[in-house]
Amino acid sequence: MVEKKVTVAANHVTKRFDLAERQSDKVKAVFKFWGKGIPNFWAVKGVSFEAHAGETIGVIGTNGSGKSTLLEMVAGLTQPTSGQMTINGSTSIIAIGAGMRPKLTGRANIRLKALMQGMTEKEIEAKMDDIIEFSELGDFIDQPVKSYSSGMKSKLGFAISVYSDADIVIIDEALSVGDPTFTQKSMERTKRFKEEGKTIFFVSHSAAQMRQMADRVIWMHYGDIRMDGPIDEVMPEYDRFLKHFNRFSENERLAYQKRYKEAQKTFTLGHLKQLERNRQMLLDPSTALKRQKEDEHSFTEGSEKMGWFTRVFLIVITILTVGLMNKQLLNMSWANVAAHPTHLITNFAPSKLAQLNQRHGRIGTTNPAETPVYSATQNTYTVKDGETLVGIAEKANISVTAIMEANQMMDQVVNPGQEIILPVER
Amino acid sequence: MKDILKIFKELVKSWPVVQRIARYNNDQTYRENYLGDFWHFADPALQIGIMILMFAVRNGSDNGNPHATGLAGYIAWIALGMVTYFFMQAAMQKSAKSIQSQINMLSRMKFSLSAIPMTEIITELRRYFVMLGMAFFAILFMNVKPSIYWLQFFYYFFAMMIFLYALSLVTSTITVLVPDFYNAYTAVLRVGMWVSGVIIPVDSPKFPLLLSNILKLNPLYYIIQGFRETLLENPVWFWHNITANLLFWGIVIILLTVGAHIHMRFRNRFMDFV
Repeated sequence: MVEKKVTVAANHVTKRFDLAERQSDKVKAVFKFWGKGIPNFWAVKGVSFEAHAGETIGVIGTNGSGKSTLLEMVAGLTQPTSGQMTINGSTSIIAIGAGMRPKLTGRANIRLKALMQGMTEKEIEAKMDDIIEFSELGDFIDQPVKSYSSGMKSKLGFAISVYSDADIVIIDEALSVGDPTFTQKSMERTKRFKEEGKTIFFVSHSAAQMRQMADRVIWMHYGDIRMDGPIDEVMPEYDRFLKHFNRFSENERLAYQKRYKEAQKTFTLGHLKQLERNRQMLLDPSTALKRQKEDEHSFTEGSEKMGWFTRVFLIVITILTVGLMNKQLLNMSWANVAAHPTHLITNFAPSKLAQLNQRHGRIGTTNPAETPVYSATQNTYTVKDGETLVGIAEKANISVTAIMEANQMMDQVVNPGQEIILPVER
Repeated sequence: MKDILKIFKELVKSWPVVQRIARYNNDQTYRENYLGDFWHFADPALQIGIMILMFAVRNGSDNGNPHATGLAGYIAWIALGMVTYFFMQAAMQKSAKSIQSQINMLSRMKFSLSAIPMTEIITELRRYFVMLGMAFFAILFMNVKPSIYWLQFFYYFFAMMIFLYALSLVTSTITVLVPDFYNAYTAVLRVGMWVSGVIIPVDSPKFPLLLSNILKLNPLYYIIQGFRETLLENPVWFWHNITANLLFWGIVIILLTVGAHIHMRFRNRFMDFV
């Protein structure tokens, strides 16, 4: 058999989740310093495999064994906590009702999903009818997705993905929702993918489907690969395990699950490293040490800290910016800053600020409150020495005739000391 | 630094998709409504209309605004500021929420998360350009002639987009981690118009100098004032005030560095937080 191109290669891949109870604990868990007491859960604990073009790989395992987590990493949707996941080619994941906007119609959802997968409008137009036909939705295609049944949703999701032209197709239990006819059709279609040289991963609890489709099976068992091989080898083992497991009494089963779950909680990367070392020693003691050195990076979590260069850069920029802010706030010139850098701080003293306001003619300083042109209690005014009625009228901004009318004066003569009324003009 | 480069690479790679999704979003938003696209512009147009009515007409002859003369001048001055501010406000608000609201859908798709805030910003552009066209109509009433200085529009537009994106990287990440942040952010944005010199000029002689200078540190003010200088005011090149330029870009670089870092650091975990 000719060795086919490797499309997916996983090397000691792990995935950890934080079992935080509250949102704030989740945030804390991200920072190692804070997140000490928060329990971890290793959904995938050091998985290695290779997948080739044209292979159909079934993934089996009980609920919570890490199937979906593993496939999400294969799809590139999440990143492994440690280890490498190498993906050559584009991926597309089909899961029940995934990535639909319930308010939009089926047609709008097809368009949006296709857009996000990088198709152009022309390509979408060309494929739209095929997708709708494949989905068997008929008139419902123009109804909002929220009114769909779960079968219809999965049909639509499958139809979109079928036409998305990815190299690696991942089907996460999406085949088990539709009716048998549709499932059959989907499987036929999936087989065609295989002929086109695509790599297909699919999760299903149905042994019949598995036998029909897969030629290789990965059996996930509480975060580990328990078996990986041709379907004829793995399926009988899996069946035997299930039979055995089903014969357990309720208590035994719970105890079994608890034991494995506990192992997933207490797992550490050091543990994985030790296991791998032992395995290498057994295989070939002479190269074990060398191999271990090469694989060292697989057992450490990627550093997420800010690089030193970035840190220094950020600090320098921040200091410069704050300095500039002060310069701007205090209206200092470049020459002034260069001559007296300390003024950037000392000039914030209230007296200096007052001077600054004064220099720029702002309020509270140079513009004294405007003194009233005339002093009058309410609207009476006492005539001063040497004033004429015309002069008063100008000061008060009232016409002469208005003043005369208000005071019932016959002529414009006013005497010093005389009180006159200044009418308010409305 | 690596993070910034990586984000820009992703952005370039997903650019065609970003544009298509933006167009799609615009077509979808008011699809159910009878008047459709009209609502895109009705709301901001109403707000600008009211502001012009209440402030421009009242303050038209005031000497409180050193930047605008006469009623027409004031209307153009306010309209340009408000168009810019509304665009920035909407873009900032939507991009902050973008990752939180779309992660469920996008987590099942291979689409660069760093491009999502950009999608929202680009989506808002259509409304912005139409509103800007309306503002130009107001500018026509003034005695303003096109000049070489109008080319600065591209500089300020670029500055605005970079600033919005850098900020959105920070805010969208924080919104996912600490949902309360979004409430505070929208509240601040709603009053932001009053401190960004959109309606009340921040360098009016009625303010103490220190207060004006503090308000001028605001990057939003830099952008709004930049557009006004470009299109309305006495021709000045953008480099006339070196300090203001350096300050703006300093803030942008800080935002970009911090934003790129926290985005990269948390993006694998976004799913766990929503």
